[in-house]
This record gives sequence, structure tokens and C-alpha cells, in this order.
Amino acid sequence: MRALVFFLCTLAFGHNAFASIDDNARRWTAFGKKVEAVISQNNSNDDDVYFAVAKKGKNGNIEYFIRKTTDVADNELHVFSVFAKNEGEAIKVMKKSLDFVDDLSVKRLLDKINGLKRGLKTGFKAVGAAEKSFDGMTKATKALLDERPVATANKVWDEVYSSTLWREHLKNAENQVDLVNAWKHASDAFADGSKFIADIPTLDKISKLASEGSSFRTKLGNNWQEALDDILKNASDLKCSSCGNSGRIGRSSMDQYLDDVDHFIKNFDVGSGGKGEVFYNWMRNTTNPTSGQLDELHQTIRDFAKRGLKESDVVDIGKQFPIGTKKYDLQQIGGKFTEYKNKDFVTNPLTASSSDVDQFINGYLKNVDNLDKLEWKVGLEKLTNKGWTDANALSNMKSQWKNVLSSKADDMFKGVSEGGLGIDKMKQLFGNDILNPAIFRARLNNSSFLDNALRFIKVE
Amino acid sequence: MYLLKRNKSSVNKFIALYSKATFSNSEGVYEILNENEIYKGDLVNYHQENSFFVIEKNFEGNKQIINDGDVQELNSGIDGVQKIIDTDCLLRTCYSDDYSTTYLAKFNINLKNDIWKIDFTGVVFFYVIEDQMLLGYTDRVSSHSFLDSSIIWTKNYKELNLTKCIGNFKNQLLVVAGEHILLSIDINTGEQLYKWHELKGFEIGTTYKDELPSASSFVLDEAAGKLIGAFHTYYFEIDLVSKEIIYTQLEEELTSHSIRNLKSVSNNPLTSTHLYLTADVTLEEFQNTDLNAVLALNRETKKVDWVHTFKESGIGTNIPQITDTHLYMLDLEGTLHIFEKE
Repeated sequence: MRALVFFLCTLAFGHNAFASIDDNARRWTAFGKKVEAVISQNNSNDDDVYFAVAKKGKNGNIEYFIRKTTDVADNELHVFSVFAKNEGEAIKVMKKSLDFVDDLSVKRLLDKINGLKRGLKTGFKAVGAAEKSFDGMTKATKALLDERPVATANKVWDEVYSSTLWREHLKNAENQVDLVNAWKHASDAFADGSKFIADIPTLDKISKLASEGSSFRTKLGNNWQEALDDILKNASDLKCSSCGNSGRIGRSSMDQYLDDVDHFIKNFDVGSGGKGEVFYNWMRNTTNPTSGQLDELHQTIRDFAKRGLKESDVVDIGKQFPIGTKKYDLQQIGGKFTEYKNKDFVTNPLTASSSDVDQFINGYLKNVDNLDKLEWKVGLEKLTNKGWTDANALSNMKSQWKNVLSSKADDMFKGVSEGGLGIDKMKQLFGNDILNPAIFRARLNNSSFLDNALRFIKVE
Repeated sequence: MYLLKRNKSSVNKFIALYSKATFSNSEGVYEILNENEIYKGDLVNYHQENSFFVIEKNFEGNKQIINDGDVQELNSGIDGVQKIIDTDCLLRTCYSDDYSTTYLAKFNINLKNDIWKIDFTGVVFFYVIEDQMLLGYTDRVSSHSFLDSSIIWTKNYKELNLTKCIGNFKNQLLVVAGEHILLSIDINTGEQLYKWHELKGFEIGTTYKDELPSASSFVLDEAAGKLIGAFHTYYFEIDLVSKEIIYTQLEEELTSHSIRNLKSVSNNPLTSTHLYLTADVTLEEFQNTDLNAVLALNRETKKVDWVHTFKESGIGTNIPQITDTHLYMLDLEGTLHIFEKE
């Protein structure tokens, strides 16, 4: 047989998809069924190219036709290509080759294509033809196919293009290649069936991180792909727009998190010994962070991004106070400290959290001369999840702190050599007339004093 | 400049003034004299910056105040001493029964009664200058007669947030208003004489740009007519006559001594040649821990002439204190580090 049959799986379409092909026998997997196409040893360069196309007949059966490449109708699916001297010969080749085609898969694809309202030509062209991006889509597809097993390529269709939302989003995307590559990263990182794989905000953010020239890639150099996959894998329990309310309470949604990751990696030194190294390791799960540490990571980098904090604003992150066991979370230029707490203080109130109180008194208070240089930020979601509201979370938290400070007043007024803060420090922090524990406790019952004294508490 | 001579543990408070060094612990107040510690009495309180107030147990009669710089003895039963004016009177705070209101009272030591009493609640700073008393609130300053407490003037600063008084220079009360504003206020009228705020060209990171970074981090050098300050890796001088702000980046010099940044200035000691500061230090062998240091910065050369890093304790917001012969630094564990001038 002189004719050549060229199966391009399910998704190679249009003239641009044709590639040179050697003369060895090839094994293809098309539509889930293994076929073997014997490529003619003696095909001639003057053969014409024909498309074997499929469309639905009136009774719903699949019918196959040979078409010139320019004559494919909108409701026809290009299944494979044939090189032949003429149309008659091409039909013969097609009929012989149809033995290797899985009708059911072709039917499924046609059903999907028929769901598209815009002009259909073939496969992906259907998605891109309506507007600007036919070439871009083809390149995206080809890039995907070049690197992926066919079974995975099918998932593109099954998981992505079956979604009308996704299809429209991809069609309008400025850079479809980045978006398809984002899908590749997501499908690698997340388990089959994960909603993140078709979650548009998630894929948009991945696309931003993974796009050529992105700050993420620039900063991480050759390791960026590995890092991105690690970061995604370590965030598989987050919320997303496709996940409804399911996902880890107290952490950002996936797309928000990826934005925050982008800000953090762009603006902090995440290399060895850098200020951002610890958080970067937590993101990638290279140092086995605890669940609580990951909660704090989310809260912290969210706050950094919101405030636009950069390396040059920060003295250090997560370092130990001078010669002690207490650590601070953030010290900014000018000696401002921030402690991040992403905990459920409703079920486990502060009064029962001696380590948090000890850290605050013997770590932070000893190292600030003014309460304006201290922030104690507690995440809101874990509080509202347990019944507090946006409106009462701050006052409830203040109430807990009031009880703590009242109960600790005697200890705080003790001299430094006895483990206390000393009277000078108490005056410095709470007022020149706060001379003993009794006065301090009494003043904590005054709402104006209390609000001023507890201005370090932020619930966000 | 200094050599560590010895450490004294279990110290709660330390005061150095002129040639005298005095500390308190849980047992009382002691004066350091060479290698000796001389008991001065049981500690009552120490609410004045540069004095201890000492009382003898069970003492009921009048006792002469020893007003020679550091340790002063008072009658029993006097609480809340804020400032001793002379041998006859002092200022003290007292409270309503439920402690909800604070009063400032002028107390006659000999008669053992209050001469006058005014509401002191909400006062963030007060300053006594000759025959008047200046009370600072977050939104106003008022002047009271020291004789009878009557109001001389009140000036509103509602748009600002007054937090601290740095001192008085030639009838200018130097008041901190929030993080970035420093005011000069006429003590005779309460009018604002000058406001330091903008500082074109100054920039650190994204937070500090074109304004005074920390208005509170200054100490008054009355002799030179300047406010001397430090922020992060910068040295500051404000000329109180010309109003000019001059700042110098010290990062290179500080880094050569492993100093990462300077701590805030409060009432740090200074001489005509040196400003004594505390700092955060980063050493390779303590990568995960901040360390603290005390240092002498040469005001002329802007070089660090002496530095000591504490590897076994932190110093928090404590500041060094100096006498003619020694430098003292109290750490957060209650250990007094005594350095002798070389």
C-alpha cells in the first residue's frame, strides 16, 4: 500500500499539527484503544493529504468520511490523516484503518464538540477558532502532547475542556500556553480528581508563577518547577472556589495562598541562611512543619502581602529573643514586633495556654519599651468557626487577655531578678501611675484603660 | 574603653549618678563602693528616674532627707512618690478608693499632709519647671502653678497623639507626638514653636520615607543644644537652635563590629565625645538567636570606640549607665555587669 496513515491521537488538528514522521512502524494509543499503523515504506512526496473525519449520523451512529483538508465541516471531527494519490485511494485506506479506531471514544468527543456553541472545525480548533487564539491553542496543545502520555492528554479534554467555564476562560486567556502548563503542574501535584485541577483561580495563579520571566521563576532559578510542585503538593487541603467551604480552616484559599507565596518568594531571601528560609522550607514541606506551623505560615505570609512587607522592612523572622527560649515571629525595622497566632482560642482559651502567655510576657514585653511596638495578631477564621463572630471576636479576645494580665499582675510586678518585669517596665508600658498590682488590676476594669492597654491585640 | 570587672547577680534596679552607683535587690538598697556593697536601707519605691526612696522599718517620726543624689530617706506611709522637690515637699500620686482615679498631690513632708491634689488620670507625662508643672495628655498640655495647682494655661493638640516628653531646652518643652513628629512647645504659653516631621531623602525599606523615623528615640544634650538619637543603623542630631536634622548612615561601621542595628534611645547616657547605646548583634555561632551589645559611639568620628556583646543574657530595653569611672549594664536576668574604665 502506498498510502500513509497518520494517527494523531485524539487531539491533533489542522495543518499545523502535522509533523515529520519516520518510516518505522509506530504504536499509537488512540481513544484508549491500541492500534498499529503501518506507515508505507514507499509513499511518494506527491501524495495529497486527506483527513479522515467523523460525524454523527441521523440515527446517532458514527459515520466516517474522507475530506480535503480545507473542507472539514464544523460538526466533523478530524480522526486521522491519510496521504494518498486521490480521494478514492484515501477512502480505501481509511476503511482499512477504521478497524483500529475506537468508535465509542470518537462518539464521546463528538458529543463534547457538539456542546460548543461556537464554530467547530476540529478538536481544539473548536475552542480557539472563535477568536484570536487558534495558533496559541495549537501550540499549547502540542506542547502538552509532546511531553505527556496520550492518556494524560485525554485528561485535558475530560477534566478541563468538559468544563464550560474552563473552556471559556482558556479561550480568553492572554497566554494559553501558560494556562495549559499550569494544568500540567496541577495534575502532577494533586491527586486524580482533585478540584484544584479544574479550579480556574488556582490555575491562573499557577500560570502566573510558572510563566516565563515570572519573579517566581527568576528568583528560584533552575529549581522553580520542583519548588512549585512541592508547594502545590503541600497545600492540597486548602479551600478553593471549586471546593466550596471544604478545606483547612484558618488557612487561605489556594489562589490566595499562591498569591502570598508569590509575594513572599519575590520579596524575601529564601536561600540558605536567608530571612525567608524557614517559611520557604515549610511551604515545600522539606522540614516537616507541623500543622500548626503551616497555619501560622498562611497567616504570616498573608499579612506580609497585605502590608507589602519586603526584606528591607524586616530585621528578622522567627528568631529567638536574646538568650532565652522565647521566639518572636517578626521584627521590623525600628524594633516593632509581631506575634502571629492562628489558633482556636474559643475552645482553648488563653488562660489555659501558659506557653503563649509566657512568650508574651517574658519575650515580647521585656523587649519593647512601648506597646505601639507590639502586635499580637490572631487569625479570625478559627475563632468564628467555633462560634465567635466578626463583631465580638476582638472583644472576646480582649476579655481573655484581661483575665490573663489580671491573674499575672503580681508576677509581672516582681523584680527582674525574681522573674518579673519590674515596676519600671510596668510603668513604661502601662502608665506612670500604675505602681502596683492592685492599681493595675483595678484599671483593667476601666474600658478606656483596657482598650489602650490591649491595643496590641489585632484580630484579622 | 572599658573592661568587664565583675558581675553582680540578683539585682532588680540600678541607678548611677555622678560618682555613685546604687542598686536594689529583694532585701534593700545598696551603694557600690569599690568592691563593697553598703546597705542603705529597705527599699520603698523608686519612682523618680534618678533616685531611690528608702525607709527605715517602723520609723514613725520625721527624718531628714538625704538629698545628695541617689538614696533618700522618707517618712513611712508615703506612697506613690513621683518626685522630690526639696526637703519640705514632694509630689506623689494617690488614688480614689477603687483606684479608678489617680491624683497628683503636693505633699508636705514636715506636716505630713497634702497641700493640694489634682486629677492625674490620663496624664502621659509631667514635667516640673521652677514654679510650674506641665501635665501632658495625649491631646493637650496644661500648665499648673506649683504653688496652688491652679491652671496657668491649657493648649490643645487634638490632631496629634502626645506620648512622651524628652526634656526642656531654654523654655522649649520637647514633646513626642506619635511615631514621626517631635514638637517644641513654649513652656510659658503652650504654643507650638516648631515641629520636626519631614525629612526629605531619608528612606529605609518601604516603611520609612521622607520623615523622621522615630521621634522618641532621642536624648537631650543640653550643653550642645542638641537632641542626639539613633534609629536602626543611623545616627541623628537635631540642632535645637537652627532646627536642622543631620543623620549619618553607620551601617558599614556597625557591620564591622557584627552589629545589625541600634536599639532605640531613651535616656541613654552621653558625654561630649560619646553616646552610649545598646544594639542587636548577629554572630555566626548564634545564627538563630539575637544577641545584645552595649557600645560607645564616638560622636565626632562616628566610629564604635568600644563594644561588649552579651552572650549569656539579653538586655531588653535596659540602657547602660555611667559614672566617672565605670559603666554599668543590667541584663534581663537581673545580673549587673560592671565595667571599669581603662
